[in-house]
Amino acid sequence: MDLNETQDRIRWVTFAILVGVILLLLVLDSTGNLDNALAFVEDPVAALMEWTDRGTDRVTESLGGPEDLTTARLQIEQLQAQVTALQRENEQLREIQGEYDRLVDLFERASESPEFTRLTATVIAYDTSPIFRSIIIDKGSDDGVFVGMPVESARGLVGQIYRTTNRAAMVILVTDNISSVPGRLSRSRATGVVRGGGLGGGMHMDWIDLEAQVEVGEVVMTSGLGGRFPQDLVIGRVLEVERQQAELFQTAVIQPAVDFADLETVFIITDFRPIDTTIFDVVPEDVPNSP
Amino acid sequence: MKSSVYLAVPLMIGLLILQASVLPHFPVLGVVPQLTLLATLAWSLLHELDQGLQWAVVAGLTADLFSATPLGVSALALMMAVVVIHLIQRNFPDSRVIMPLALSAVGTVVFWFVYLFLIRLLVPFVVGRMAFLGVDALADGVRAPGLMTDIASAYGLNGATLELIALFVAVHALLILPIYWGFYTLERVIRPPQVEL
Repeated sequence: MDLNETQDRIRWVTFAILVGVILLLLVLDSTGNLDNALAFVEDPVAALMEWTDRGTDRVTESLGGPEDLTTARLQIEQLQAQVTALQRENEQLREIQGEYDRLVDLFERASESPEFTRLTATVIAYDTSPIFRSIIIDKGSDDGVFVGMPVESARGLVGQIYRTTNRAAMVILVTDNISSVPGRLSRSRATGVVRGGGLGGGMHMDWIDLEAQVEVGEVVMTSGLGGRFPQDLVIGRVLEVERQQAELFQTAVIQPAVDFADLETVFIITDFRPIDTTIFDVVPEDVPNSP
Repeated sequence: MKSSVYLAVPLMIGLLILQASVLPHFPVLGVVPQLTLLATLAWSLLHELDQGLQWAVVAGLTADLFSATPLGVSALALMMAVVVIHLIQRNFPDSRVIMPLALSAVGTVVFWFVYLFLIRLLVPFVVGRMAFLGVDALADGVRAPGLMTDIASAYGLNGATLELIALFVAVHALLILPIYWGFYTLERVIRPPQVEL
């Protein structure tokens, strides 16, 4: 093989790798994923800068006039130790504050509808496929969780239990393509079906009566129709109304009440019994056919 | 036929935990890298077709266990991706940089096309299963054929899915080299090349 050609190839490969590494760094930095790595690099550099700065100060001080350097150094060390201790305490307090906020949310949610028993669960994973919108929680059939149970957060409806294991369960989110929840608008009282947008985006409410005066900002809640969800769980707010005279129904774009990207704790409504309406799907044999 | 399933199973479980629990908090370009897919593609590039297929099965099944995806869909899609990249790899000169980059893109695209095709085919099954279990959506979907068509079309090749595939191609291109080189090094350590004296 020609040596020049090999060297050229090595050069190009090195160039490509370097460009790739730079692009990778650019992407990671722009998405904020490099913060920790940068801190890893910045910390030793900062320590060096601090050391240099101290050295410079010492030189300046000795040039400026005689002072009790030992006492000053001791005081600085003591103050630094205090700052470290306070920072640690601050972090602990923030953690406690977060826990407190979650408990307050739970308490408020429970007091709004005390007729239901709620089981608190933590989100431990997200669906491995971006096509489906589901989460995995740390409560399963051993904790009394069963398929079909509604799941909510402090802000509103999250979804429904789809699969359970002994110690975990999968929840299909209301934003998934295959989710549809019977809903009701709070002001106009019009009903419809709230469907998830899946990968494509947000939720929308279909089958709203064309006569209903739907307003932007109106709260959408579960209607309880169909018997699979309790009434009055908040789903979201109307963002936009799509009304066409040629259609028999109107559609509303819904902003979900829950921030699904930031979901940590959910509540499973364990004592709600879905009503089986499938018996109405079967037409009895003795019923005469309609003309 | 050499088997490396004993390595694939714990590795895929580890990668899956990372992919489902840790990486969603640090998305790259708005998507979570599919580590199990990348590991399968990287391993396939370094080994014979049969080993690639074994890894595809293990990776696909473990991924589907933690997803609403019908079990086996990801495995089938991954197997197709492995077959396609092997066919391409056989007809091109070996390269430890260009080929992994190019074939991770091809593998990702093939995986997603087959995956979406299968999901679209299986929508009635998914919806029907949910309705059977008593999960809502579904009941309405089963009763109204129009809704079923809407749901199926959401899994087709539309703007959103094409954008997602393009993002995965870009992100996987950034990550395939470290994974490929990691496996390459591991292979050299475990099975050093035999030298004839």
